[in-house]
Amino acid sequence: MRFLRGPLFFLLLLLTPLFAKAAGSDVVWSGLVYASTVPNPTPPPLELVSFTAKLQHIFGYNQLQIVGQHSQEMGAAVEQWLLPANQISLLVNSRRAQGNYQLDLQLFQGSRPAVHSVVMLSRQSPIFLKGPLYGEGQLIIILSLK
Amino acid sequence: MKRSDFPADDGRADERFTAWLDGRLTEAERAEFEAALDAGARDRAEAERSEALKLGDLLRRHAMGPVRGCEGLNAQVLARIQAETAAVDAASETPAEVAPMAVAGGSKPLGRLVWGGFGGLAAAAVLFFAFVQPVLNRPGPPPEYYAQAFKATTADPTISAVAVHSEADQATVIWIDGLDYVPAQKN
Repeated sequence: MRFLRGPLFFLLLLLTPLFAKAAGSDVVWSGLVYASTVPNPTPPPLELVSFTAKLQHIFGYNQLQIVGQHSQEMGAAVEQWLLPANQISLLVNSRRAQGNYQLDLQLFQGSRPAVHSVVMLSRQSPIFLKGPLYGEGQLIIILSLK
Repeated sequence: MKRSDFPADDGRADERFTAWLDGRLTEAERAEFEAALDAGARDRAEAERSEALKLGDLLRRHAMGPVRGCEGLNAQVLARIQAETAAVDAASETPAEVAPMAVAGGSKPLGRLVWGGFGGLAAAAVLFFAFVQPVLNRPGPPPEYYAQAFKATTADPTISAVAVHSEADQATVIWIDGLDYVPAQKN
């Protein structure tokens, strides 16, 4: 059976990337951001660097601060998590769909359900939820597949 | 032999002649057949039988034995050719030169088959990863490429929610209006 060793070795070599890809799982990052306009804005935190230009273009604020965040590893077919804050919270139920994730979002203001939304999260583009006005600015919720 | 050599041709003269050539006639049949021939026809028949016997001997001497099975057919044929060549020209080819070729033909086909199959598989894999997979992984057009909002409803009539997609920012926004203002917490 020695003559089979070479082919088997190369076959395993070819399949290794597939196994590695299957072993790694996706992470959905969700963040509650306080956006405001100030004379001397501080640099955004690392988690928001990739969203800063988009958020500034869409919402117009020049300073972004993270109020709360949650990273959910999408290991199971169905996941649920809560992004809590003082006056607003987001309950997320997710399930795999067509290689992406379909999220069922329920936004609560206090204990009162405010908005129910169903979205398909794509790896290439985030989802922003325009939240309530807060202090001198606004709360924004970000959902991103990493 | 000509048909006219058989004086009493009842339609089976050829058959009897062939059987006579092959020596398959009984003693009585053979005597009857030979008696029916005149001297000239008898000589021609004897000459024809002599030629047939020579041809039969020649064929039997040079006929190859049956090849058993289909496994290692090339090896069997190669070994036979080499054996016959060695027998004819023993001075120029020694058995030691023939043996390795016979072994090579007999034991390698399986290995060649496996490596050949693997080579084909590797080539197919290279083609797949080089040409097919990049096409499969190519991002599709919107809306599959971008996030989608299927639904945005509110329980409170004072709250409105609209899903919009910003092509320039490659982002989907659920624009919610009517939420209560949240005063900033004082530390």
